[in-house]
Amino acid sequence: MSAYNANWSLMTPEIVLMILALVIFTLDFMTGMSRNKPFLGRLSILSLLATTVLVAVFNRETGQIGDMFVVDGFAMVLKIVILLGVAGVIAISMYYVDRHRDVYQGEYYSLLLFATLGAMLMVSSADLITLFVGLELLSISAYCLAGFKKYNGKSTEAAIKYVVLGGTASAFILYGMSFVYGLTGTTSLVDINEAVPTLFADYPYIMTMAIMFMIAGFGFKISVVPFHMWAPDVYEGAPTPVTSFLSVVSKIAGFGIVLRVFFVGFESVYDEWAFIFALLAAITMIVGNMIAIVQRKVKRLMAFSGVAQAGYLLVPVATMVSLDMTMSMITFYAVAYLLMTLGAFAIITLVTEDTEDDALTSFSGLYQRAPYLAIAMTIFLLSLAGLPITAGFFGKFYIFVGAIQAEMLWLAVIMIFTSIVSFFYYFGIMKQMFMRDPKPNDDQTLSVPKPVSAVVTISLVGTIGFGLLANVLTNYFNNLQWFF
Amino acid sequence: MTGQEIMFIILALIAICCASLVIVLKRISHRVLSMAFCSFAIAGLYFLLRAEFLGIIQIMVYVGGLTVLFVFAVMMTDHRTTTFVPERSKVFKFVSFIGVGSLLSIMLIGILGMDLPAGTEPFIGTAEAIGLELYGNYVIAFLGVGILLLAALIGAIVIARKEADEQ
Repeated sequence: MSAYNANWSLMTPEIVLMILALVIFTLDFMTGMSRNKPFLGRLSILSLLATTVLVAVFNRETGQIGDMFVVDGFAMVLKIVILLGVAGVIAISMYYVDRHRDVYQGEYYSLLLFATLGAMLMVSSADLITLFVGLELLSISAYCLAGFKKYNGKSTEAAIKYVVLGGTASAFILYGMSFVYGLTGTTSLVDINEAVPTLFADYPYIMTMAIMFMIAGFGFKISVVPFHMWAPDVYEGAPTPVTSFLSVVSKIAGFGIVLRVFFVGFESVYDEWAFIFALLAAITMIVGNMIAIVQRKVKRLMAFSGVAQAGYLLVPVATMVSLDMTMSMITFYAVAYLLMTLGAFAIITLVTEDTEDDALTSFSGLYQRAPYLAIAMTIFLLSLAGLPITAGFFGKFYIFVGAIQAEMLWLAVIMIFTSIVSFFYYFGIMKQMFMRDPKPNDDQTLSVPKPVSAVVTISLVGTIGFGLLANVLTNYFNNLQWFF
Repeated sequence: MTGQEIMFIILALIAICCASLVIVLKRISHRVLSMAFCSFAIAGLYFLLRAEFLGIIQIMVYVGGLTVLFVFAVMMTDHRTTTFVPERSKVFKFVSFIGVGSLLSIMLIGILGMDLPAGTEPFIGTAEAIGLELYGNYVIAFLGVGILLLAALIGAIVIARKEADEQ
């Protein structure tokens, strides 16, 4: 392939988003030093929505520019999920930066948009180099965003821990990739997939090592046990909207790169790595849910809840019956995860900012202060726990059935058992909201800013809607051509 | 033992020693210096592998550019030694040493046990071949790196800048 005869129109959404991000960055320094620029947030949301439309229009047909950039069902669905997720994060951020005038808004929004661009690159490439560049673009923007409140010790601590550990994880990924490149002589995942079966026969030790290195590095990015240590500290220290970005967008994009690398690049040796993912899924579900029980701070609790959710998402990877079914399960749960986590984080941002305290007790008496928020939060938590009429329930049920079909009964049993454990800590928040009285020095009613209530409402409608009409989405996913 | 192997061992030892010194040394200026020497040794390894262009780029970018940038960064930011957590206990250090050591030995077993045929192609790392790959096949990654550097620049400025007095 050369750059001159490629079909560049496939990249339209990325190019448009890049230009809009640069325009927003330029508008910021053209409008002076004032710290309050709400129009930048609105423009960012608009550009994300415009890009979403472009993705839906231009990425309908499968196509590719070499193996560098591929457009297929997987790329399209995940791009839409990521773009809408970032739009929600920015809506939450608009409330946050309004209260924290020490956050540079223009840089904040443009970094979020650059990170989105990296995430889009991560889900639509079939080449190790392009995938890695996308991953680093997302990661480096996220490191900076975590330290955006630079006069807050915890935020700085979070950023430093994140950059050091994240850099180590990237080094592991790169080292594993370099072994694969050294043995195959190519960075294209399609060519790698053809070459690996014979390589596994010739060099089983070194190939297993390369795959283990990559799993360790990717495992860090999607925060699965035992590579999850960074998550609670970084989630706690980072500004709350950035936490929601890390737990929603960063994680879904991380899953995107894992699925792309392993299901396109190493699909021919599925049996060699599937059991590693099964083990990881099992310990992630157990450890994540167990440690979450003892957490007293809501952001740390959400961090461990996010770890546990990553475990559920790994189950279909380990229990593949057919590729289409696995992809359909993971993407359905990713959509559900996006909706419920984003909604929950919108409420968490509002409540922790209002009480200036991130302990679980900051939720006490929320039902009396803001009944709508309390009920919405309950639905999100029920969905995260996996109780009926929510999208989370159906997603989990779908994964559960898949695990049974693949005859991985032990994994399905662990999933059910840990889901029951998760009720304890999710119900802990509900208990605070409904059965405690508000603290005396809090306002009697909590006023809800418009962007936050919009995110909550959309997530609520989505969570219940996809819970009731799950087959709309699954039918669409089942007929999609996932990989090019 | 051929001359190539002797050169390799010398350069590899320099690279590893200097890389360890970056962690061991106390003063940041000494660390920057040992990092420069580490990059020099790696450039030498590239020359041994017949990738002359990459070797020259390594010297220009890492030894020349990056080291100077580090010196600038040291000069322009004020730095104090701060710790987030208390000094780790002896047991902790011992356990992590064992962990890293076993990881290294696992890797060495794999790498030393590998028997690969020697490459025969004489000109693999020429400027022409790299240029064609970089601006032909890998052009999207190249553009992505551009955005990556911009994002890193913006983030670094936001985090490292001193606040001006606001009136």
